[in-house]
Amino acid sequence: MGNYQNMQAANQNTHTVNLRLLHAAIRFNALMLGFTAGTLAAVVIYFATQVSLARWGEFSGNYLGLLAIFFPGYSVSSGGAWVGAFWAFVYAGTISALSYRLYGRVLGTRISDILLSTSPSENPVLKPSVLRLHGVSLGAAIGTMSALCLFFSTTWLVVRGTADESVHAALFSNYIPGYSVSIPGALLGAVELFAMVFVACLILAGVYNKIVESRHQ
Amino acid sequence: MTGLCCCCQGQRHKEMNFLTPPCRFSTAPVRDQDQETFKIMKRAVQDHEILSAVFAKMDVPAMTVAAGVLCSLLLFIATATLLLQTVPEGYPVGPHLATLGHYLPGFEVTWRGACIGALYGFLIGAIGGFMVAVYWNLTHYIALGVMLISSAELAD
Repeated sequence: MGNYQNMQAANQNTHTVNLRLLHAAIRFNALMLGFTAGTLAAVVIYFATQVSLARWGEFSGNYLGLLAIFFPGYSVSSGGAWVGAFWAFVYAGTISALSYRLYGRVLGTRISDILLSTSPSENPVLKPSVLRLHGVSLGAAIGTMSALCLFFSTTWLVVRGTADESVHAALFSNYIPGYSVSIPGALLGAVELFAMVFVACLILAGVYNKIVESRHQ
Repeated sequence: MTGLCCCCQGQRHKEMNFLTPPCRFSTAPVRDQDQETFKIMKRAVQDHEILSAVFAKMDVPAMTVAAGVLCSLLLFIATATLLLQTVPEGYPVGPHLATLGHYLPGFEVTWRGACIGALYGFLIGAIGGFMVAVYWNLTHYIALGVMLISSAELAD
């Protein structure tokens, strides 16, 4: 009977959550993260291409040039750096935004529990709280996106018929046992990568939260 | 996401996710995990808490150190994994990872190189974490500024 009352209380309280506002909040932050990650990725690709050109000139692009498989029109050249920046923005922005959407969905109504408010009575907009990370939700979101990225990029190599020539992609098997440039290998690799990224996210969130709590005690 | 309700012995009767409450008709025993969820859900989430979550700022030093530690670990483990694998005599160990030495002077696929790589990893991760945290906070401040200006114009 106690359980039943617990559930009823839970039902009543979750019905009071403004789900429209919650979803709007998740969409807003997904957009912000997409913009942040997309811009940073674009800057990294642009400068990596320029540094490669400046250092090795016409011999540059042995490894960086492989990005052309996924970035149509990209090459290790001055013009190619802009094309690379564009694709990096698109890929990183989309993947990050989707990751946040997933993070928000998994986190759900616990969104307020990740806040470290120094003074709860303050205006939440003008005096913002400090953000904490929820390791499990973060791991689930980024792990899923990483696994999907590995699966689809491997599938793309198989579909375009260059699986046998993809010696660099096959090097993943050094870190992901059982991975190969094939559909079954991609599936196995995706599962293992999910587990690895999940653990990495738990470490990231754990260290971040510890420091946040010690700094704002 | 459609799933089995945890309290109805497997009846697929409703849409289930973290935003929907559990079935209210059930008297089934509650698992520890569910009880934990209920504890969290017992407190209603107010609108201002959701707004706080939207505009919460990322702690820059914490993200800098956390990303640094993670990258440091990753680069060390990546190097150590190759070193622990058996390689035929005369073959180079990790020739592809060793090309990182072009960008990171002193890095090589040896135990000493792994330690140097860990230091570089910390530096790279810290720069990345710092940039992400600063840029995240900055985009929120800009978005907030735009919203405040728009709302002020509407009020006029």
